[in-house]
Amino acid sequence: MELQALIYERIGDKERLLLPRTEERVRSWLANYVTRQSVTALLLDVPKTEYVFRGGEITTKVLEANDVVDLVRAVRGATSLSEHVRLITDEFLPPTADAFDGVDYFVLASRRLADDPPGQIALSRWLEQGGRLWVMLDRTDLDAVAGVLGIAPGFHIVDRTSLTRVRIDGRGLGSRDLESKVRELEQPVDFVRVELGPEFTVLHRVNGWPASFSRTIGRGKVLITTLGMDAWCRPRTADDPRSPFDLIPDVPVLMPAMEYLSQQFQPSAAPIFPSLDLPTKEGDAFAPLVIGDIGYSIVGVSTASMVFGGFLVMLLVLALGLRKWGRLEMLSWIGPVAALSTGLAFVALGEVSRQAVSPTVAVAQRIAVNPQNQELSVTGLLGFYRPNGGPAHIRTTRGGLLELDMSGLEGQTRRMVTTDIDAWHWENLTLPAGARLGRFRSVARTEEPISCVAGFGPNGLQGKLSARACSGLGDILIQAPSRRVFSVRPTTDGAFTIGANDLLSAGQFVADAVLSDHQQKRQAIYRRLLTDPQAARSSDDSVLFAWADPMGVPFDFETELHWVGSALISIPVEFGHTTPDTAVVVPRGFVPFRRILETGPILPTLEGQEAIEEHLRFQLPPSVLPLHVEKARLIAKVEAPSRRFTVSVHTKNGLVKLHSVQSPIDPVLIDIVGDDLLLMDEQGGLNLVIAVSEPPSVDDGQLPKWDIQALELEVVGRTLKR
Amino acid sequence: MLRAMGLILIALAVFLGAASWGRASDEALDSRMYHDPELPSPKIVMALPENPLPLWLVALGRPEADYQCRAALAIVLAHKEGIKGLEAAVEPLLEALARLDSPAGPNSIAPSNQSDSGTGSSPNALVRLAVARALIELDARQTAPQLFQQTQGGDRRLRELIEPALARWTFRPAVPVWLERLRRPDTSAGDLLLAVRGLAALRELKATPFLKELVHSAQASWPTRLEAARALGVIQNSGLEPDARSLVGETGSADVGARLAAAWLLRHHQGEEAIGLLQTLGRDPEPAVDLIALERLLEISSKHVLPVIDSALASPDAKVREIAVETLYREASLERLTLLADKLDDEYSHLRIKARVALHDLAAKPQFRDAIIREGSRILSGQNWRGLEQATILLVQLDHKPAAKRLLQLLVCERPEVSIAAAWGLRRLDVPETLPLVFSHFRSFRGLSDNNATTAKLDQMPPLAVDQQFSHLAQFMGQRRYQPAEATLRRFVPRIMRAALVGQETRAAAIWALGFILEGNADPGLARQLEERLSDIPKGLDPGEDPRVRRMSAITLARMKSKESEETLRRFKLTVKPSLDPVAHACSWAMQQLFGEVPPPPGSVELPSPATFKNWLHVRPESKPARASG
Repeated sequence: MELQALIYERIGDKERLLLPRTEERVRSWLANYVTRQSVTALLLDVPKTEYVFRGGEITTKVLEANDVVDLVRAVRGATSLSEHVRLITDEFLPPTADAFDGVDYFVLASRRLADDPPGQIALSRWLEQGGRLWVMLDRTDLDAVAGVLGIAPGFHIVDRTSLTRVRIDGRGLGSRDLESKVRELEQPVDFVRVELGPEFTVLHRVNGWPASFSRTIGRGKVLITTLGMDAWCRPRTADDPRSPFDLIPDVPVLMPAMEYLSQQFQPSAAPIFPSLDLPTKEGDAFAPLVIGDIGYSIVGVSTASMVFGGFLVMLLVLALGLRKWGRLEMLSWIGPVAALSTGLAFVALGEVSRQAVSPTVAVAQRIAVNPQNQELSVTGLLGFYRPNGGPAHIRTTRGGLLELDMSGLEGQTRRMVTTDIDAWHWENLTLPAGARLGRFRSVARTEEPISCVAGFGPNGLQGKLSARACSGLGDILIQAPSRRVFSVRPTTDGAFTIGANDLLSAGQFVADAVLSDHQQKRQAIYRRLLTDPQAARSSDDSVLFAWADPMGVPFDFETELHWVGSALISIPVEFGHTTPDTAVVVPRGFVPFRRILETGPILPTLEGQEAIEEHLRFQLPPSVLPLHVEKARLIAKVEAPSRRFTVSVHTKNGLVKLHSVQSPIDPVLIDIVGDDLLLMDEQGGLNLVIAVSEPPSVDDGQLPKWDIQALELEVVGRTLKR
Repeated sequence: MLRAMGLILIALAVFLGAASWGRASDEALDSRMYHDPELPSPKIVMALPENPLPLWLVALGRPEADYQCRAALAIVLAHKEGIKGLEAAVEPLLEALARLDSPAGPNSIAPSNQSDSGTGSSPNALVRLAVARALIELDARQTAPQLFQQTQGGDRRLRELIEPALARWTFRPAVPVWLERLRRPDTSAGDLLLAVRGLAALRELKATPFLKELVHSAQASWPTRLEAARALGVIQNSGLEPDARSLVGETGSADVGARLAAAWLLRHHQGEEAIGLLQTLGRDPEPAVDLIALERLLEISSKHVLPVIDSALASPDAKVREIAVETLYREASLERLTLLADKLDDEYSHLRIKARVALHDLAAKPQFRDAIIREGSRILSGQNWRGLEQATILLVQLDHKPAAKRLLQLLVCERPEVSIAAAWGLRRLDVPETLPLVFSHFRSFRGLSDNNATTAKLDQMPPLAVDQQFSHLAQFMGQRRYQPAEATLRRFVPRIMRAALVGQETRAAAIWALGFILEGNADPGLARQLEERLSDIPKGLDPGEDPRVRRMSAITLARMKSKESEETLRRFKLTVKPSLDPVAHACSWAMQQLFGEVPPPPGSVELPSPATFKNWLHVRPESKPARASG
């Protein structure tokens, strides 16, 4: 594929075509087309070197080698990506987030970002819009990280040291990234000891200190590693499998922990914020909302059918009457007149429909809030409606990007002209009358941060929603780690409590009994976002979702417009530690679980045909740990005709059967009481075993299917002193 | 041209740097051939672009945010690279800030058709940040009031950029603002942190009650509490013992955060109670806590570290062990020398070297010298390669000649660090009785004689390590003018040696050694060979002779008094233009030795700065840039 270009010099309003040295007017191959693939960008320091003069011999001494690129290559190799890593050699990053559009994964292993505040902002915005950032803390400064994550990034650097003995501890019982033995390294490996705040989830530890940890920021995710490269990989030997790259046979071998991280943070993994990306704009879940907000619609099928039907009926009646009258020849001019009248009726209907709506811009926004940032990343769908066609002067001087649907404008020569940072406008753009949709992204600023802080107490989850910057909040819900949703009804000051009664039934996302047209559309979007496995969140975070009036968008249409729309806001729930010696109830849904295999934790199997026995580990929320569990209730909804469903628990004396039921029909409620049954592991995990038996006999050899539709744990206990 | 030459030299230097593996493992392992003769070193000057400040100031005055940002950031970069005279940018930068604040400024944002002022991003904010960054980089303290004014707006990023600089500049008008933030319960975590750090830098005593509250607050996260503890420990250098004690508790807190906070509180304390607490914290199972406590104890007096020296020496943390080594050095006694000598075998190279240097320094005191040699010999008789390497260097530096016997054994040690150090040690100890065995070992090199057990062992070693080792041995035989080795050394002169992978370092050393063995006795055949080596410069794809070999060839020609080689030496000697070429310096030295020609002064050579200057504004911004697409 060839990209051709004309280059003009533009001074004021005048422009002059700059011709290439060759005779052609058109410049070709200014950029090469390559098939889209996941891109990893790596920001490194320029290798520090100094000239050393020894005995008349000049030599350079490399003070810090940049072999980290090998590690990044190995990480790509582990996820079957190519070896190509984009090294950023520019001294400054581009000052706009749009420049990072093609980047899927950004690796920060440099201190020079500290000198580039505009670059920090651009990177930070890209992250909040859904980027994935890997910070190698051993190779960067807090100043550089603070520029992206904020001055209080949620961790405190205690000191920097180095290690010659390393054993990376995995993520608890059965994790497959556990290293079996301590590795001794001849060259010390750098290690940054950090104390973490509750915002971060620790993934690996070394000597009790976090070695890798992550958190979501807006729609993006950041991974921070504190350990030098040699701890995460080792040189490839003859005994190892072949390098994934033919041209780089000695790419290092990842240690199990980095193998895990590379799988978890691979750019192609499901995004943290549910994606709405669909093949066509018409299919976008937000499109009905935007079109509905504009109020404009083409003549409906029923109306058109009526007009056509009327035309046919009239023609038939006329034909019958004229035949009876003996003047059938008149049909030769009455027919065309009737057809013309019908056509005029259509034109009139269309014009009425078009003129009934004033020029409008409708927006449906998605806003993923980062509580630490008053700058919000806004993405969404914009509908621009004009009753009359003509030139469109669309511009901005405040950033953002609007990708208006240009279908039907083929052959039109138009330009999008960028004049400065965050300033662009369209030239020679002419749009026909009607509605036109376009995706956009922009930023919005609020006077005060938006946040949702919560903690577990005696009545369940108690919290406070601070969102004074948002007006018209409604249809609020919290999605728990189990993906179940709870309705939230905050008081005027934002306080709320949710318990078992607020749990919404499967498929329900708006609590009201009778839903308005708007609420139905919102519920459809919730359903699309929160249940579609393609769009599901991959983390165990709890997120509050709410609908609100839209934030403004920075685009200028140079015409009087009616602005309408709504915004779907997602706010991560920040859990505060419950004070010691407090009774707590952790509602069902807030205790995620995984199936534990010898190779590590995986998503549990909840349906099948074969008999199964699964070891399930339920992780209690870290904010209530350490906890003395007084009672746990397992709620299971199981469909297993002619099979026995059994629940057991791991105790010091082995497996103890708690409950067993044949062909369960009603929901199974199992109360687990007693210290011997409620044994938690060191990381706050409760371990249960569930089993679904074989059916007694099968005539046709086809085993009936079993299905665990719900499996949730509610925990009652008292917090202990840390 | 000069730049091109410089680049070639750099490429050459990189190659040489890579080739000299092993030599860099320990700076103590010097090579005599590079110092005898000591050739003059020209001064290296970094070439920086001509000061483009006037150009950047034009860009700073342009209405486009893009130009203004780039100009400000270019000033930051230029200052970091050491370009002088950038202080002239302070006033224009301040003017740029003032223009941004003016509602009718050149790039003030036109009102939108919507009322929402919080909509969209602001290029002005980027310019503000870049300009502020430049002023901070230029250390423009006089602009603190204007920068402080900028922090009073709503831009969090400006506060995060400017306030640490204000704290560094001890800008006291910021104190009330920071104190107010400590008082307010709704202060964001970022603003709180900035206030805590700022007040700590200014040692503001009024902040102490708030900081104490933060340190003890169970609601605050540990990162915040630790920051408060650090600040409190800086502001108050006495009286925090009760707070530290309450954090640690009578039986010791299980929480590392609490113990770290306690240690930070006492970071600048002294007095009996504080020392007792610090010693308790210095025995903490967590090395991060030990480190803070021990650093303070060492600052007060190394004597206070002695009660915890055993646990410090056994710590898994190298920095803690380093404090222990420093303490043993400062509080040296005959009994403690054993502990210090044990650290010659530490797993951290810098700690091993520190212990060795400490023992070497202590050996200058007569009461310790014999004991240190005894301890060094003890380690040298062991099997651990780290200890063997350091003990070798120590005993050689102390000129302990009886160690030579053991060094002969270590020539075949499988660890290259040890075998290289042993060869170096034998050269430095210069014991003539070891020469036959050294020569025998030298002849074990594959291709020089019949294969034997030593040849097989040498084959197992990295070739570059063998090269280093044999270079030292060749130099030893040369400095001792060991005639039996002459024929063998001559075999290293040709560029390609049959059936042997001869390293260039060894070849250079062999040629240098021949210069001593044949000193004053010009051998026409050898002189012709050496002239050939000297003249073997790169031609086409042929990289030519190794510069080290060419250099030593010139030196040996002079030592042999080969006056017939004048033409060749004159061809490659220094010109009036300063040069980094070691061969040219060697030829000039040879000409001086042979004909009394005084070489020109070394002068200084300009090399390109390692910085790329890629994104600097190089072109005067005349026209409004426009990028068109679509």
